[in-house]
Amino acid sequence: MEKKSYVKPTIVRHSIGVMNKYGRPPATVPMSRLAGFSVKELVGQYGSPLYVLEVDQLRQQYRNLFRAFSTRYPATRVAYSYKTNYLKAICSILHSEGAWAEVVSGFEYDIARNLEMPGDKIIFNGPYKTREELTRAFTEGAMVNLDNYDEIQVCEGLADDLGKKLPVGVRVNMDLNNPPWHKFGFNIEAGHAYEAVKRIQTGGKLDVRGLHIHVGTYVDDVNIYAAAARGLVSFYTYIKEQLGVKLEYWDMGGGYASHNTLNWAWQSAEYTCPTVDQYAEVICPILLNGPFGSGDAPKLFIEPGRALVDEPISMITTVVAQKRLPGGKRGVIVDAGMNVLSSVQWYNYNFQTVQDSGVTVEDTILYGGLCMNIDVLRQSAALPPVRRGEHLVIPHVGAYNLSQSWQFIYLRPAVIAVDDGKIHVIKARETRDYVQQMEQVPEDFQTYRSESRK
Amino acid sequence: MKNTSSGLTANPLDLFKICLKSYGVVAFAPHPVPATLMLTATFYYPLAGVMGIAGNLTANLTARWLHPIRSVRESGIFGVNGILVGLALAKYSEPSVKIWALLILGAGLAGILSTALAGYFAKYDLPILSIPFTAVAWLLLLVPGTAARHDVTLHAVQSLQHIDLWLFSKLPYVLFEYLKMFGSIFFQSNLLSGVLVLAAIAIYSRISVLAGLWGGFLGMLVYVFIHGSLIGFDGLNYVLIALAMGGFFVVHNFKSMGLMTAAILMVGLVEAGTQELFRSSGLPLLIFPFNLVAILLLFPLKNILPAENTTRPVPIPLYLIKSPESNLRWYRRWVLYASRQKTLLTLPFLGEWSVLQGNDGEWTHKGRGRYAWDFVVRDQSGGQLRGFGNRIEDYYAFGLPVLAPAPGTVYAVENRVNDNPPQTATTEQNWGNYVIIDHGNGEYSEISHFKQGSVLVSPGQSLQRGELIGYCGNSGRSPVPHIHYQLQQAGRLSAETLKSNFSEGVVDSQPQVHFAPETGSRVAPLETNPNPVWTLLGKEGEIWVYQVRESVFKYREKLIFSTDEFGNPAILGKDNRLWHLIDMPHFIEIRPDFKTYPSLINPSLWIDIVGEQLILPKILQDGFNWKDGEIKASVEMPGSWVVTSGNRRIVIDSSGRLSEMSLIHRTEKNMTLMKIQHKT
Repeated sequence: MEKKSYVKPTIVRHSIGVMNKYGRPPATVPMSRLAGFSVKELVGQYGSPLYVLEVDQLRQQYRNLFRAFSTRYPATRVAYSYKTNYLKAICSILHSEGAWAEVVSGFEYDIARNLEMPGDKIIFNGPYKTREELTRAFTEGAMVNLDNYDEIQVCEGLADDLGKKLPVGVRVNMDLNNPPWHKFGFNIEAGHAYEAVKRIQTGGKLDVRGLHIHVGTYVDDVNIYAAAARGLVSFYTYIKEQLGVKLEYWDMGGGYASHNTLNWAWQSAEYTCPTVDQYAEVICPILLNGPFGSGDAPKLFIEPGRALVDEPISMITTVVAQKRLPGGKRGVIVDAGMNVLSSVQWYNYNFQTVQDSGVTVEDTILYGGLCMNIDVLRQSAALPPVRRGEHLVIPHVGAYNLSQSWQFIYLRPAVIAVDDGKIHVIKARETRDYVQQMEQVPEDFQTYRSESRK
Repeated sequence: MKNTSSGLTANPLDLFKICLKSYGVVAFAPHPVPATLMLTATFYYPLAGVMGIAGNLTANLTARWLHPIRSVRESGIFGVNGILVGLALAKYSEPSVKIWALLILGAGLAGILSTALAGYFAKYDLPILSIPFTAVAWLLLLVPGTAARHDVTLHAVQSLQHIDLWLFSKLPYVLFEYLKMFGSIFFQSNLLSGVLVLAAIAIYSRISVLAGLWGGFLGMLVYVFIHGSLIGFDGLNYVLIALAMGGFFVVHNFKSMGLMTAAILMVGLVEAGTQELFRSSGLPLLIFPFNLVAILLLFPLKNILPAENTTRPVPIPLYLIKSPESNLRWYRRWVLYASRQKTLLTLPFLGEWSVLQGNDGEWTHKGRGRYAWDFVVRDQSGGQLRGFGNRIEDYYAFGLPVLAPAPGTVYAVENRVNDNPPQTATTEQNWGNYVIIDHGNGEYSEISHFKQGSVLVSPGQSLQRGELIGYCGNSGRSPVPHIHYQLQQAGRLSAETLKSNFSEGVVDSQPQVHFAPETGSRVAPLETNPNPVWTLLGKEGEIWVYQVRESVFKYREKLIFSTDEFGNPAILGKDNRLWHLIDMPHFIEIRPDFKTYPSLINPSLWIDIVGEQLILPKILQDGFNWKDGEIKASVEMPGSWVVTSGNRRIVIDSSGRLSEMSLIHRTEKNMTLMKIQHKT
């Protein structure tokens, strides 16, 4: 039997209770298997930490979302927000389900085209688009939503160059939440949006075909979407009357929540996160009151990211050490740092034990493995005793953690996809060569030589 | 000719056309080209030809003077009787001034008799055929000194007679008699006329010429069987009855071929049985057997309903008749439309739903209610709900919008029935909350199990396709939230359901034009189409003119784009017949006006080619299946579409307008190439 590492004994008050006024008691049911495979074996084969994508669940998320909206609105399109996670395999799976691509940079646009998405199935948003990128997007028939006057100017120039009137969408914003999201597009209440549409239409070089609004991120209050939809309808009615604009689409953007608890929330996401049906139920009927007949509703686009990819991906980590802090609080260090779990700044991730360690839980601070004081994965989690070498599974880590990860002192982990009982590596673990492949050392730079050899 | 017609007709050209057409009508080929050939055939004996013209003119002028209905007047049937009077007099009497006088009087009388008889026969939709001629000819031949007691010597065109005699010496006797017989339709007992008439029939209709040949052949056999030889054979009655019954008055098919053969035998019987009678009175038999047998057969066919579950040859309404081929086309279309669902239905919901119970279902869709559907929403794994399912709101379908499946008027509504808790149902108010829509054509939609208080429409309100009418619930005999849909033949609840299809949908991921989904399949309506097919067609008031080539004939047809009394798009086709254009988002269906039904005359080649549906190529890109076969669409020229399907070819030009259509091949006739010219 393996010799156990020494831990200084402490006395801890047991807290196993039923659900109290702060919500559900912490889960202590060990999760020895993930996606049908033993966690231990997965780590043994692909290393730790490890991202695990359950393909079936990803497809289910998409279909569920599409079902919710398409059964309530006559022409619904889901455009996957690339920035949430643009691993090629993930984008491909979603495209195979019928999702369009929503990109916010030339780089993302290129990824989509590289995946053979036709230009006319790509929505190009984002506040910063270069002239070259715009040229490509317009030439290939992408839907471009304009963010500011400078962009309007550039696009009008492009229209001259291309010798035709270009169809565009206009990004608008409203005072919906606190603090309000005013970064994207033109404000409706201040009259900026109307001025922008009027400016575009009178310019005669561009033609407004769509409106786009993005109300925020992780918006778990469906009333905000209701207000946004009402705003879009009245704005459309107004520009239709005043300027004769006829929309081909309207885009409700993204921001739909996933089942991860925000770290300032006092209730678990299980209770606060609306179902996709609840979002659709408020948005669609309001939009259907728009100024059009029953046969020619503009297409409705939604641009979910988090709501699609957050939940199907889990991360397996390994405990590397545990320690006792001066206040008596237990600290546990795992091998994944916040460089590969950037969403810890938003989420109170759920850390699930893999081994059965009993029902006795203790308030624990979870540290990442980076040599940085700020690398805290969770300030306070109720965990049973765990030892070095044991694994912890963090569910719902698919959104942003991969696309926002940065390489820092460790190599970034592999991503595997489990599909129908088969494992595919969709991104291999980094190697030193990979990390350094763009680097060059000029010959003049001398490498280390010992003093004696001079 | 101008001199003769002045005073009685405003347009001599019209009269000329009718007179010419009359020659064709004699051999059931009412068209100027065969008519010209037949006219020529009567000039083997120039005097006979002239007498034929005189009789023709007289009879037509009489009809013009007497008959009130233009289409009947111009049908040529009066001329037929006039022509025959002229030709028969030429054959059976020595020419003299008296004969000429008798001819004019007789032809006039034939015109009067035709008018009278046509009026009487119209009630029974019977043709007057050459009955007036037969009566008048007998009358004239009974006038003392008219009928020659010996063979009349008519003067034929010398050179033609030489050819005829030479052919007589070269050809086998039977063949000579066989071909000569066709000339006898015009009382021209010579081979050249016979060949000319046969050729004229052949040009006009393949069915006719085959029927005529068969009639002549069988007639000869019958004659030989009765008389022992061909001496005295004069086969016009056999040929005429074959032409008439072989596809002209009756739709050509196996049954009509049987009828035709029986009719030929009956003609033989009548001829044999009355021969002695006529010989003793000195009168020729003329076309008596044909007329008798034709009327005897057509009367019951047209006026006595068949016993139940029996099929018999189908007679064609007289005013529709043009040629055996056009009859056939009419009949096919008639069968198609008569058995058709009149309302084009789209699925009454948005997004993908599953059929919980289809037609002839396991639980409730039985008997009179068999043609119904229950739709529920299922997720990827087939579940209908999220969570525990103890609340009705857990079901995906609950509260989803329900739409009008087709335009119509709200007929009845129930909105007060409670929603059942999951897995319970009440049979007290079986239908729960419902909406019944009257589609205005004898068909009604019944949609059931709305959420309590969610129905948004009220009786009398008119609805558009796809209009929101309420929200899915669980009221009535409904254990789980679902939409019940049925098309029924009356407005009351539980009325008998009608076999129906939905249109424009995706069934198990496969786009379909018309479909009746089965239990377990997943269906979704197609999305709205921003470029409706209607934009391909003409605007109101626009006229399309195109040229049709039909075997050797070329003619122009035109379509006028118009609206019906409800302001919906319609086409005025040939003979001002109205065709409704049912404007679906993804295709257009062209349907005859059901109020004038069953007057489905051959509409125009354009409608014929389009058939029932015209589908926008835009859809073809998404793998749309046209129900009558695979569509191949390609872009040939920049910006223009070429669609081929089956034997159709449709070209849509760069402006998105339909510019050319053609039918590459068809079985009955070769109709090709149309170039459409738009006029406004």
